[in-house]
Amino acid sequence: MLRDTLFRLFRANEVKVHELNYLFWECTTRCNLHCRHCGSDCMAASQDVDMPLEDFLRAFDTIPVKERPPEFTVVLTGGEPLLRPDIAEVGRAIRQRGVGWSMVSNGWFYDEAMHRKLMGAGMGALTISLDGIGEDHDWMRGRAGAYERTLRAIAIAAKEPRLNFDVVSCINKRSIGQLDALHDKLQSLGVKQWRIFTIIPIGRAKNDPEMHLSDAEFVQLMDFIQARREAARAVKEGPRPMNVTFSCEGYLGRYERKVRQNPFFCRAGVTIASVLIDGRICGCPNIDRDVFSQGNIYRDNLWDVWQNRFEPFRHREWTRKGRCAGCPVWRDCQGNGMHNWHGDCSEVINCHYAKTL
Amino acid sequence: MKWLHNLLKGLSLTTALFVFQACYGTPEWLHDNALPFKVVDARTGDPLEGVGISSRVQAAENLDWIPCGVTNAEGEAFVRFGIMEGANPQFRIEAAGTDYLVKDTVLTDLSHHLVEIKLSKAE
Repeated sequence: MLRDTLFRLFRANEVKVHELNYLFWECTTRCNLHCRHCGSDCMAASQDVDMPLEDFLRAFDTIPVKERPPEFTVVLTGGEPLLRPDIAEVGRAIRQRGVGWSMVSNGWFYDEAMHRKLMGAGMGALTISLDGIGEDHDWMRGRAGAYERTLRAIAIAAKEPRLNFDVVSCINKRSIGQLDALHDKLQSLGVKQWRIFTIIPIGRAKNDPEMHLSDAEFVQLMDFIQARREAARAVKEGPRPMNVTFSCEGYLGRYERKVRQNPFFCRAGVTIASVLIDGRICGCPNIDRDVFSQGNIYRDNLWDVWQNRFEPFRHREWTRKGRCAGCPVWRDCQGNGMHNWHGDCSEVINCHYAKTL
Repeated sequence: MKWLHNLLKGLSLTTALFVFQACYGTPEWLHDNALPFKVVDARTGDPLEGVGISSRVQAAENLDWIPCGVTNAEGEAFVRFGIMEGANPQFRIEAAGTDYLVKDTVLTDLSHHLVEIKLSKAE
């Protein structure tokens, strides 16, 4: 009880301070895969042109140096960031500003040479996606051979002590039965952190029933993560087991603090912003950009926008509607993650809490 | 209240609250590897602007120099770098296109509040 109250006070203070420390850059929407769950509906020949590095840097440089905390990270995302031929130049330019950078990749192009190139450009954190075993990963990713390529990338990254590296998995109806196999495979490759999330019904995944877990399957997933975390805590000697965690995608009711380290706190617009492919400024890239974008770097000053806008992200009373109106856990959930509000925002499209009841 | 935010962030017991992953993003950088640098002329003490600072880790297999900061008009740069257990970070301070000599240094004490570097010109 006291712990929950203290966390609410902490969260309220974080909102008030709204220190920007995590900036996504959607640096391309081109992609070499065709994932069934892609929220951005990327494609190899995207109509969007990659944003020039100098455009992003011009926006980034509006953030005063003294306002960049030590943990400030620019996260390169897409599309597939490794399709940018200037990816190492991008990384170096960010590091030269005293800021760290990281990347979300599907791993297809990530071989030893690419690894050395990116480490040489100062990459400090990396996330690679693995969504199933063998053909089930390829099915999810829409390309044969993706599984083997991804395993190669994971093996390379897991050996690198200078990287804060994790693997993410979108669990769906096919992979829910592969949790133990995925766990053992990743652990055998030396992975130290495995982050699991589920798929929100947007983009290509919206009308694909194989993407969405039933409530019973969702609880099965929570129980799996909880059991793995408890087993890891019980290990007192020898190598530390892989840290399995659920992503911060939604409020989990009775599973809060049991499947991840910290209580739910959607930080979009609180500590997280993004610069999207067309220059729009938003929270996380998977948030409805047509509804929640707060400005555009080609028209606005990024730092001014961060300081003076983002009202819907920082004051979420507006989410008390539909099934959230009168919900007994709203003050801890606050309408779930911002990516769960789309279109006319008349109703939250995904309630994790309800799945756990 | 920024002071409360900074106080909580400074307490090791609550640091975990500030280390997070956006549900869609990567892990954050490990943020204990950062130091302010100040680069000055060894003779006059004047601050030097535009000086590049790169880092690498002695024990690392990959010994590329990684650019991690450029000094401002006050000669200051906030430098973030990777460290490995049991290894000391190395820094290269280079005022490219000038007469100043390149300086390499190894930090064995990471508790500095400020790393002061004096660059000398070639004789």
